[in-house]
Amino acid sequence: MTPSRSTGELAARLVVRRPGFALEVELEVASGEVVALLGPNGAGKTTALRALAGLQALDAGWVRLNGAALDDPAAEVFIPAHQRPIGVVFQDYLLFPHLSALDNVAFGLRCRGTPRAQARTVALSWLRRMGLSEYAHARPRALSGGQAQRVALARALATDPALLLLDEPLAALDAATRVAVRAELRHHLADFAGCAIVVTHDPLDAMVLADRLVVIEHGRVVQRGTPAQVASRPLTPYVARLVGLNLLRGWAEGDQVRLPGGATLTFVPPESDTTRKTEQESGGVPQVEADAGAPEGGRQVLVAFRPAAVAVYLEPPGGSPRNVWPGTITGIDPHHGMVRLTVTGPVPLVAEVSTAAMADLKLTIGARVYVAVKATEVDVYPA
Amino acid sequence: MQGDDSAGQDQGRGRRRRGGREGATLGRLPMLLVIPAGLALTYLVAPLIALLLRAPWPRLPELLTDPTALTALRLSLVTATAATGLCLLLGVPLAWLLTQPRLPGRSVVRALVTVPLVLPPVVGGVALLLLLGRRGVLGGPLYEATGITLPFSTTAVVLAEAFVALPFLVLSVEGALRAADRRYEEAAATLGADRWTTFWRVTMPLVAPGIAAGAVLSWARALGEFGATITFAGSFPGRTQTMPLAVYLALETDPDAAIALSLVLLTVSVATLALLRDRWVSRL
Repeated sequence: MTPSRSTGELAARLVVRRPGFALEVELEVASGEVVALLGPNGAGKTTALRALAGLQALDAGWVRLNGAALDDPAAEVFIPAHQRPIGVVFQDYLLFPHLSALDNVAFGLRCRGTPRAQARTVALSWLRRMGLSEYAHARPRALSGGQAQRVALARALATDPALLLLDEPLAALDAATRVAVRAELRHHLADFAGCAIVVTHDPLDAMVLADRLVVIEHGRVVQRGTPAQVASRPLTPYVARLVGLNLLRGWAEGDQVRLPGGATLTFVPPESDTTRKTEQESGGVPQVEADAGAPEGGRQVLVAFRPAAVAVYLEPPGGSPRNVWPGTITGIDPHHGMVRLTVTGPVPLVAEVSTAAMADLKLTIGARVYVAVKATEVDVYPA
Repeated sequence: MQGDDSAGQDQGRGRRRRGGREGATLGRLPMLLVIPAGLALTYLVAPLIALLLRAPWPRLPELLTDPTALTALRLSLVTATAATGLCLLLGVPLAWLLTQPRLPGRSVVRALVTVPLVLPPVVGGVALLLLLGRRGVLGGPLYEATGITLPFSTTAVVLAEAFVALPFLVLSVEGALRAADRRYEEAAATLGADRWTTFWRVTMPLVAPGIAAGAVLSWARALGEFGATITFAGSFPGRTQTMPLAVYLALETDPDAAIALSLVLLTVSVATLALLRDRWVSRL
């Protein structure tokens, strides 16, 4: 399932320093693997991509592709962009406006010395593969967004690169085309034999397109793992927000988690062998240093639960739920036919309730409520 | 002009006012600005109208087919075109160099490029003579080595015209290069294009309109060149006597011929303006 990371064809440690910003990211991608570089704007995703492509020199670290050094400041090696076996699909595609779709796709082959006729034959076969043969002689300006994206992909793939880089490949498309193009892109990436890296800030794009996610924030990797691992056990508030989970940090002892505000949370601890198995499966998922010996006992953990697992009451509920905290509603947002309530208090969280429940309880901003989470609904894992 | 009483109406109508009355919100236009502005416009246009009014229309075919006029016209077209070619050959690489971020002393280079724009052309001619004349800094050794003298030849006309026209081309192309999206060059690099290939196959096509505009502008400037030409190349019919020189000399002998030749140059200028309309005039 998870491709072995030790046999990576691409091995890179990207260090780029600029005033007020530092990128320091390690990446390994195996042949045939698609890795998504996911992160908020300004996290350094595009800088990382430019460094891999050779459009930005490293300050330290290295880029090795199939064993060959492309950039290694310590060894004074720098292979310029035009000599790297790398294809790039740029965010707004950057199709040459003065060339037809066919000549755009043939451009890379021509630059590498392929005779014109042969380059055009290969380019045409790529356009046919993308379902665009009838647009071979169209100028980029006559193409729709989805078509331009496919031409850009064909252009990058035509030179048979060992590494394919895609910079926000779907960001320039409208929502309707996006769904179709995303599915299509996934199909083409699956056919691609080399390493592929997709840079995106959209978790859905990342999860659909990639075998593995590398989440970066502020120039650092904050989480690595398969889409399923990242979606179920986020390690930072940013990732939690992306995948729509509540995330709390605390110290676990037995079936209790002490939370920063002084509140405690009860959960159902998994049986010890299950825990080990889960941690094995997740491989190197928790990249944040595990804090084994917490000062006041207990291990540092993260607690994740779905907003829909949160129940909202006007009076303290009696009966079973043990995790009950008071709070104040500070935000009300519609969310796919439901309503998401932002609740502040000793345990800040997001609750999802139905519109009917919302009307029933007459919930408004500023309302004092009690929130409850069932012990069976929370997932507790090492931070 | 809107009177004071219409101000109240304007407020009442709110946003439904149409374009023609937009300016009224700031009050009437001050006459102290409108009158000199009108005078300036008149001053620019009136001489040209005078030229048209006094043109010897009936004699025009005869004057323009006169061998002297035809020779001057042909020489002007040939030299201006050759000078434009020279400007393209040297000016486009210079413009490209000016846009390279790592060029040391770029502002100095840029200032040097603009010197011929402000230099009186006669001074340019004298300077060319001192450089390339038979006893010039470079012209001397050239003459001794090969026996070639540049001044007072058709080549000298081309050199003088290129000297004054080059800045127009360089600045025009430089502007186009700066406005172009340089990321296309990065895209070309990722496709395996070295800088030379990128320059020819990506950068040049992208800035082609700017180069064309610069070439037309340089050509028009070269066609009208007078001062540097007469100083460096003299005025020998058939060899160095271009249209502007012919106009100047004809003014003393046959004013009608001078007017006729002037009309030709005026027509060319207007045609140039029309060619560049989209790029320059509409933006001003």
